[in-house]
Amino acid sequence: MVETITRPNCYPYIYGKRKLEIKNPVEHIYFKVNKDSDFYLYFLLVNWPIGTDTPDLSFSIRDKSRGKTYTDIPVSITNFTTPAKLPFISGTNPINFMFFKDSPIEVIIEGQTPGTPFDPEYININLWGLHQA
Amino acid sequence: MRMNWEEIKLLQKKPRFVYEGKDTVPGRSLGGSKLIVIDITSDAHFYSELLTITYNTLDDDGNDDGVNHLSVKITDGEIRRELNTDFIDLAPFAVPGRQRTPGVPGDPGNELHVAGFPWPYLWGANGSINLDTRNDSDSELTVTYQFHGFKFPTKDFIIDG
Repeated sequence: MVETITRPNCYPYIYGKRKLEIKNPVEHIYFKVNKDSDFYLYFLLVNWPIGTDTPDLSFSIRDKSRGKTYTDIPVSITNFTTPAKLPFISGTNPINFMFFKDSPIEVIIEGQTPGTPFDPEYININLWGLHQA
Repeated sequence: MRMNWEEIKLLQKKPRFVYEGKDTVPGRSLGGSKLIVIDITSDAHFYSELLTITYNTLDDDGNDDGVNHLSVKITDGEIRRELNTDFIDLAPFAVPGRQRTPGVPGDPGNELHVAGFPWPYLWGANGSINLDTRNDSDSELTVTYQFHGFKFPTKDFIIDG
């Protein structure tokens, strides 16, 4: 007897930006959820060349269209990606935050020293999650 | 959430399988891109659970600086579904933590990898996993993608939808 598998209505998806230059003390980075699917954000994955920079970077995430914020106060990236040399997956806490279709995802990052830009050569950001049709 | 023991037992009985795509991506001056295609065989559908990636990190001059130069766009070749925006950088989900800057003392190593990143996806038999890979270094780089999961034999299962 042949069984039927229904194709799952959710699938992994990554929104990414690479080699972003950070120029301002507080930097706003935007992504837009696809029009046909909600997006369940699971991991924020960030890295940058170490150089002489410290790992002191804070971030917050919000859905501006709904006024929903995952973190009201920027939280240190080290809570999510410690320590640097460990595999990312084991140092990354799940975020679990739902964005509805076609809504803006805003990632705000800032250095730990107020008024001073966090200044790596560049930063890579991937948002890993599930699209739900 | 309650664990469904019967479903877990059924999954454990399914044959484990790994699909692998490995290739070299030419340097920037030679085009800097390679479409790596993993063909799903006709005997079974494939449900991937994890994605692992390894690659080397050579700069324009062929030195290993530990900085990633590769990006990828993943597509389900059967139903033409893209699984990420634009070309995403491999480093944030395929190397440990932050990168090393050229000139900083230390040994960044030649191969970098993580134990696996979740990739829960059903690939149909006779379909393909398309990995359009770009290289912004002038050195040729090698990359290996592995999808780990279960096979669902086509003699026993059909996909609906």
